[in-house]
Amino acid sequence: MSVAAGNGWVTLAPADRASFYGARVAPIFEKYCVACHGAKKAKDGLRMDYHRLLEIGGEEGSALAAGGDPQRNIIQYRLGLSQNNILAMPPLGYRRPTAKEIAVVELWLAAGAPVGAPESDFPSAPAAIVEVQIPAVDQSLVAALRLPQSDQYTILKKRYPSAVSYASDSGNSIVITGASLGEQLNDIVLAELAQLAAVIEWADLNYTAITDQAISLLVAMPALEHIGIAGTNITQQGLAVLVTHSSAKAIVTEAGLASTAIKYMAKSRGVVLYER
Amino acid sequence: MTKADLDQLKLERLMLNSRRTFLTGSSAALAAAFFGSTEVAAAAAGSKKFSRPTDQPLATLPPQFPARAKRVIYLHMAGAPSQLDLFDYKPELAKRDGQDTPLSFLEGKNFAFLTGIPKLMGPQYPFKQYGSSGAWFSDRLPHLAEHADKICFIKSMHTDQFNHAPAQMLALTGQSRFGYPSMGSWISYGLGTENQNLPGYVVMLSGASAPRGGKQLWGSGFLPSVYQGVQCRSQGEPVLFLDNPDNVSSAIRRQVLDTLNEINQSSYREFMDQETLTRIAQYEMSFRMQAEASDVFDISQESEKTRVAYGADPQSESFGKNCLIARRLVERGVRFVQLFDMDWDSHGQDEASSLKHNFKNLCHGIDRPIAALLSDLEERGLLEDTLVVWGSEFGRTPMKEEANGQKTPWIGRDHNPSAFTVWMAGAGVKGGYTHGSTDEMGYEVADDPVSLADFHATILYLLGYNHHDLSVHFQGLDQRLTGVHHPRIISQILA
Repeated sequence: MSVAAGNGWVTLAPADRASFYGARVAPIFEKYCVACHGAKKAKDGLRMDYHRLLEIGGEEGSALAAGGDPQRNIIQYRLGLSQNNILAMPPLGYRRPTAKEIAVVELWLAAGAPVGAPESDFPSAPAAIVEVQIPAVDQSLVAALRLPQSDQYTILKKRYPSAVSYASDSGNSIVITGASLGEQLNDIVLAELAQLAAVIEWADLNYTAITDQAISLLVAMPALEHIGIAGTNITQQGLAVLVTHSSAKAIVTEAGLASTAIKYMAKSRGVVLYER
Repeated sequence: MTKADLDQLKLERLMLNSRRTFLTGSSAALAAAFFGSTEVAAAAAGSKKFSRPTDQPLATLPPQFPARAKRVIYLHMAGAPSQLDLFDYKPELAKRDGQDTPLSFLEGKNFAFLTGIPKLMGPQYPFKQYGSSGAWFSDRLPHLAEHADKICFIKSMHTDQFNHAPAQMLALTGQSRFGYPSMGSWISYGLGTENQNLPGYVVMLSGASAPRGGKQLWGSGFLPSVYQGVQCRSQGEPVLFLDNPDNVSSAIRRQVLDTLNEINQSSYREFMDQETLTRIAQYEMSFRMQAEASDVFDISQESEKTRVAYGADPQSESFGKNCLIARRLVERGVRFVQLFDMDWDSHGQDEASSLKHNFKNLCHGIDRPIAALLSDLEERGLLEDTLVVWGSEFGRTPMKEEANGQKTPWIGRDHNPSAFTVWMAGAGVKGGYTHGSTDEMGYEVADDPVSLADFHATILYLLGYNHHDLSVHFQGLDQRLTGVHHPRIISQILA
């Protein structure tokens, strides 16, 4: 892209996201400055959306000149003024960069405002903040993912509404819990719920009536990450099988149920044993 | 019922009828036009608005995306403990102890009590660093300090309210005015109740008084009242009048409830009032609770060792006992447990509010219980998916408060809304980490300010919700816990 700037036409290249300027400095200008110093509005003739245009500068000359000198570099000078000063940038009433963001800009200007220097050239810069991005969920993809088990899920959800649920609206993993059913949740009920074995991720069966009969069901749940069996009829033998063969990496048991041998086995398989 | 009463009822019914008929008829077209446009906009933005089937107010619903936290234990120290004497260590303030406060500190500030030119006051207790993270703790919380590496501090909280009641409402409902749902209500509304035999949202108080913000702090605002926090007592019957009266068997109670439900259902079909569903749900919940509630509140089932660790005496109310009950509740699937500990308002106006006197007892009262709670949750595998939050409504000033300029032996600080400290531990947050900082005097936020809306959005995020989507249309606005703010999820504290 070419635009009129300074005394002629210049060609603009987008910032390289791998450089310190592109990754750290340009986003700060974008966030606080470009609304008034950009393509739509270029107050004082200054545009801050391209490195080349910063270099050319506006009515007061290059914005990158005398980098490192807080009195002579225009960006540093204006950023450093107190908020009630009429020359302060961003002006009173606009969101101002944080101390860390100003530090990033100053470090870069002091280093001569290079366009292509990598981030590794600025080891003393405050660490970059990675903002949380919540991805948009495509419900049709989720529905497709859930399709193989959706009929069984509907039936079981109707029969045991408090015991079975999807872990989230964005996937097909399933959580089962005996929190409401208590001792009504026995081996027979678990066998019914195990129709969803392929996608059960979490099985909180603490204080239910399950016995060692349930172990073979639990071991056959390939996606299981967490099992709770405290306060059930599961014996030490049952627990040993569970620790050796289940895919779960966290198992909640009753205090004292796990023998030294079981604890050793758990440790060697990377299973965390919790006790209640 | 007199004839006048009957007439009044008939009149009310007629008024409801005509209003409803009017609304159904005329609003359909308007609603279609309005929702048509907003739904298109929402779909374009890729967001999915929350909706809950009205006939199952307490059913478990999955969160929007996989959650790091399934449950929350929220410890609110009502009155505002001094962060400068517990966590936010300020050696420079110690050096200036006794000096006049610079005028720049006072200009344009509102204080609850400070007048004239107060003196700066350094930390009142020695500080030390703990854990491999080197987090600072004063000597008032030695047991909690042993858990330094589990704790994620936010030292740059700020609020815009400087009196207790509105500040508590802002901290717990997202608004400083009456009428808004509390955090626990929003979460119960979003996620429902995991254990259908217990309330999803339980509140317990310890200390001599009740919070200034009142029951509003666990109220449901404009959400159906089924989502309000259930205040439970830690001594005697947890919920009053839960048990059947003498000579009423469970079977009779069931028959009574069935009949009541029929009447309520027919009333709901006629008037479509959400509160009728709430009533049905609550009668049913209390019936189911009869068995489970007395059991979960019975801490004599715990070992002597556990009770001692929490400092929980079965015979008396205490914060320690509430912490132990909180653990028993989350273990059984209660979603949100809110504890209030009272009397932290250290103005130094008397012995009870003096930092050198009663403050010691208050610290002693929470130190071992919270430490025990953190160890216990960890051993039981609950800290993986339970978020523990410790906080208050604001902080305290680096200036000494002197009651009307009189010299007293009591020592205190005034309210400081500009900076305070909260911490979280457990599900999804970085242990042994401190986010944000205050200036050298501990007066204002110096780095990474965190607003209450940021804080709320982050808690909802940990529970699997985009704060923006958990909304209810009320009074012409999409209402949210985070209001109309554009909060930032505090990405730095996420594990």
